[in-house]
Formats: sequence, structure tokens, C-alpha cells
Amino acid sequence: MSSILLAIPSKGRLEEATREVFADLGMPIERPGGARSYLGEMAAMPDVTVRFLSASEIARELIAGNIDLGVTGEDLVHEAAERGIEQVELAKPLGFGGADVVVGLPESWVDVTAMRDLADVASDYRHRHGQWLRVATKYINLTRKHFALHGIAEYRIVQSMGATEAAPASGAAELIVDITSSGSTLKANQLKVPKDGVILKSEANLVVARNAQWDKEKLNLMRDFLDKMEKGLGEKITETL
Amino acid sequence: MAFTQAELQQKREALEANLRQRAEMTAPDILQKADLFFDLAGEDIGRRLLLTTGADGTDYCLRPDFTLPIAASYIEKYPEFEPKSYGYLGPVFRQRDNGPAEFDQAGLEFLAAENGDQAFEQCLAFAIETAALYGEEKPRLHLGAVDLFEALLDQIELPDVWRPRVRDRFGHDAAMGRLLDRLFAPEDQQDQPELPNDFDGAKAKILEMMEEAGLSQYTGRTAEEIAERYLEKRQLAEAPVSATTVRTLREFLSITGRAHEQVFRISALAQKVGINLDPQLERLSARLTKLKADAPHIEVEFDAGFSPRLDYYTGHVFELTSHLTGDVLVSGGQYDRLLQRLGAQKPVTAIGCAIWVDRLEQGGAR
Repeated sequence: MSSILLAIPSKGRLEEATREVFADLGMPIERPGGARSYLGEMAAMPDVTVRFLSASEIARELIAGNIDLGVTGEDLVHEAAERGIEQVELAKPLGFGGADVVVGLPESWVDVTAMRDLADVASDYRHRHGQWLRVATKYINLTRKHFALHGIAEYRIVQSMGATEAAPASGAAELIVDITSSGSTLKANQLKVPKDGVILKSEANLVVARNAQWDKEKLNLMRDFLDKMEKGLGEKITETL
Repeated sequence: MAFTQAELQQKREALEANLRQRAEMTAPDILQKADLFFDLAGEDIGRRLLLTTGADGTDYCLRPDFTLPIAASYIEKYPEFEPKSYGYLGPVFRQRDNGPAEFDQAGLEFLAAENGDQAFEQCLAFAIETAALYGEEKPRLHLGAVDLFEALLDQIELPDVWRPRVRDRFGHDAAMGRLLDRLFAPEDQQDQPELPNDFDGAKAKILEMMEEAGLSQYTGRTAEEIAERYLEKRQLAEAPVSATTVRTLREFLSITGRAHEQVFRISALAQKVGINLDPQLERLSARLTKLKADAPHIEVEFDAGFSPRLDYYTGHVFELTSHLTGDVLVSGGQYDRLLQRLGAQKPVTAIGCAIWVDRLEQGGAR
């Protein structure tokens, strides 16, 4: 007998909000073993196996096709692989986990209000300092894409795994690309976003893996599952697989 | 029709023999330190690298080309810059949208060449012969001249701060177009915070903001450079760059077509705006004349806006394209600033070309 594998975030606000969404749809997810167990159950759909994973791991596993569908942020799909977004189908935005991936610059860069200014600054910086302008971020793929879109080539990325907003003050980088939901962390660090510096408006999505094994039986299951979430969604998504 | 295994083997041997005749064969390590490439070309090449990390944390990449590793090891071995000619044939590794990440390239590098023109002709002759070896009898030659653009940019009426910025956009049509738009019609200043209109006043205010944010005055962008650019933007808004300058740059960059005719067009443009491009135009004419004598069957197109987007290119640049598929088969040029970027104290003549062997080997099967 076939089943489909659904991965949802294993902890924190994302876990809560995800379970709320499914509960509201009449498909509550139980976690019989408590927070330390990584297997869940969906009584309304016994053919759906639920697994709890970290949100970034969900993005990776979706791209690889090791799970059939999952709940994760669009930003994480972009970051898991340069062309990861092409390997999945964003089936349904879930209305939580909203955050923007943005370019953050020191407020003291009074001359920079748009990406085109940053293009000049990157060029000037290299000629003046003999070094590349450095951008601290964990969003490497999104940064490269956005900077290339604006014709900016004269910079280097410094990988940052945490406290990215502190990079300009610590001297690790001149500017940052980071995620922000309210903008308060940026503000507290005297950083500002240029007017075309919003790279991605991300939120939690129900994401379907294109690379998973889709036989007829599984496609039927998937169609039923998605239709329960939203009428007509099953047809729309399974058509693309 | 695809080539048979035997034909491919035979062509490889001929290609290698041709290389050996012209240069000393060399094979840099496949595993290279990634910094060499990042330092020279920034994040643009970075996204194409296949990266891996050593146990000690060193970042390595699989060589994405031969030119950089060859130039880097040359500089170590020959600090006196003796003339050297290198040839290579082997796999390179790049993330690509189409095609496998591993593919073969062959090429020549003439470092500290005594006669740059001769080295350039060698590259062209080698490129044309190799194309013919694989059945590309009438490839097109797409020619550009970085020296011509740099000479124009040096002399044209333009605030100095804009010259390097314009230079950095050369070879990227969209970015250049946007920059020229801004020169002519600067954006309004409303979103720029209101600061004192004099350098010292603006700088003091910026320093205050930096201090408040805990930014060092000694690393990153300094208060001086921010103040300078802030005021420069205001000045530009009040007095944009002259329409003639922007028009001249646009007109120059759009010049493209049958090579000999373009020389006249550029010469006429230079005369009209009163700048002297004679030495560069003479060099270009001489190249075209020589080409006509050496390879009369090759159609040559000159494109004033054509350049790789790498600031170490200095002279003529070329691409040989298939007249069957339009694919680039060979690319090359003169890059006298390459060795300088790698640590040489002055420009050193460097000329080379790289052949996309994988494309040639696919032949008509492409």
C-alpha cells in the first residue's frame, strides 16, 4: 500500500503554526511521542506519514525528492540549491512565517538609497581600497541573483551563519543580506534597506517535491490530500508533476 | 553528423600536435585554491565554481579555466618575467545552465610576449586551424578593442569619478545602459537624507552616524568617501553630464558590423567630438589588414561594445563563432593587467585564447 510522506517543522513557532493550519482544516497532526519524537500521525488521512524535521532540512529533502511534500520557507528552498526552486512546486502559501530577505546597509551610507547606488559604491570601493566590497549573508544564492540582476559584480560574499546584522560593526563585512520580519533588528543595528533592496518576500509554504517518485496511486493520494486543503488544488498541482 | 570515435581520436592528436608546435605544454593542478579566482573575478565567477573544503578549512575549487593557474604559477617561477609560451588541453569545471559541469578546453598563453602582435596572430591562426580541423571552415570572427574604449573614456568630457565606474560596466550592456541613463537624467534626491551642503559639514554628520552605529572609522567605507559621493550626487542632480558625452558613449558602444567600415565610423566620431583615437585605430586597421591577408575567407565583425567583463583585459579581444550554430568556439584576447592583478608591479604583455573543445567535438550533432 502506498503512502505519502509529509514533513513539517519540528519545533518552535513554525511547528505550532503548521499544526494549527492543519487542525483548522480538520486534519490535526498528533505527535504521540511528544517533542522528542520525530514521527507524527494524521488521523483524518492515515495514508499520510508525518515526519518532523528542521525547516532547512525539509527544503533540502524536498529538492532531493526524499520526501513528497513539506512545510518550509521559500527562502530556504532558494538557499538549499541555486536552482532548487525549479525542483519543487510551491502549492500553497500558509499565511505565517512571513519574512523578507533584504539588503541591509549602514544608515550612515547617506548616499545610497537604491541598488544602482550600490553598483557605483562597489565599483568605487574596489578602486579605492583595492579590495572587494564584502556582503555578509547566509543567503548566498539569493544575493548573487539579486546583485547580478542589478549588474553588480564587484563584491564578495562572506558566509555568515548567525548574528549577520552585527557584521558591519564588527568589520566582517561592509553590508549584509539577511531575513527580517519586522525590521526591528536592522533598525537596532542602524541598518537600512535600499528601496529596491527587498530580494524576496518569503513565507511558509506547502511545497511539493517534483523529484519524488510519483506513481498513479501516490498521485491520487496527493490529489485527495491537497483537495482537502483547498478545493481544486489537487488537480492544479498534480498536473504539474 | 557526429564524429566517430576514431575521428575524434585523430583530431585530438592533430590538435595536440598543433599546440606542441606553438608552445610548451603545461597542466596545472585540477584542485586549485578558490581564493585565486574569487580575488580576481569576484562573486560573478564564484557562482560558477565547483567548490570543496579541505580538512584544514581551506576552500578549494576544481579549476574553472587554465589561464589563471598558469599565470599564477608563471609569476612564482619567473619573477623577472621571461617570455614564455604555454599550451594546454584538458578538463575544466564550471556550473553551467546547459551541458555537463566538466568539459575539455585547449588553449595558448603567451606571457611577457616580446611581440604582442605576433602572439595575437598566433592565437588567431591556431583558433582558425582548430575550427577547420573540426569541419568549421568558415567561422565568424567577432572582434573588440578594449584599448579603443579606454582611450575614448580617458579623453571624453566626464567627471573623473565616473570614468572607472563606466569602465567597470564595459562588456555588460544592460548595466552600462542603466548607468548612462542616470548620467544624463539623474534620479531625484528626495530619498537622500538632508545633510549640510559642504564637505566638512556632511562628513561630520556621517561620522556621528557611524559612531552611533558602532562602525569603525578605519575599515569599510570612510566618512570621507561617503560625503564625497553624497555631494557628487547632488552636483550631478544640479548639473548632469553633458548630452554630447552620453550621446558619444552610446554611439560608440553601438558601432558594430563589417570590420573595415567600423574603423571609419569610429574615426569620424572621434573627429566630431575632438578626441584622438589614432594610435588605437591604427593598431586596429593593421590587425584587420593582416587578417585579410592571412585568412581572407573569414568574415570579420567589429563590435565596439564587445569585451569580457573582466577589468584585466587591455587590448583586442575576440570570439570565433560557428556559422552553423552561432556557438562561441574560441575566445581570446590581450590582458596586460592580469599579471599585475596577481602581484606584478607593472603591466606585462599577456595574450591567449581558449578553445571550447567539447563544442567542436560535438560537431554537426550539436
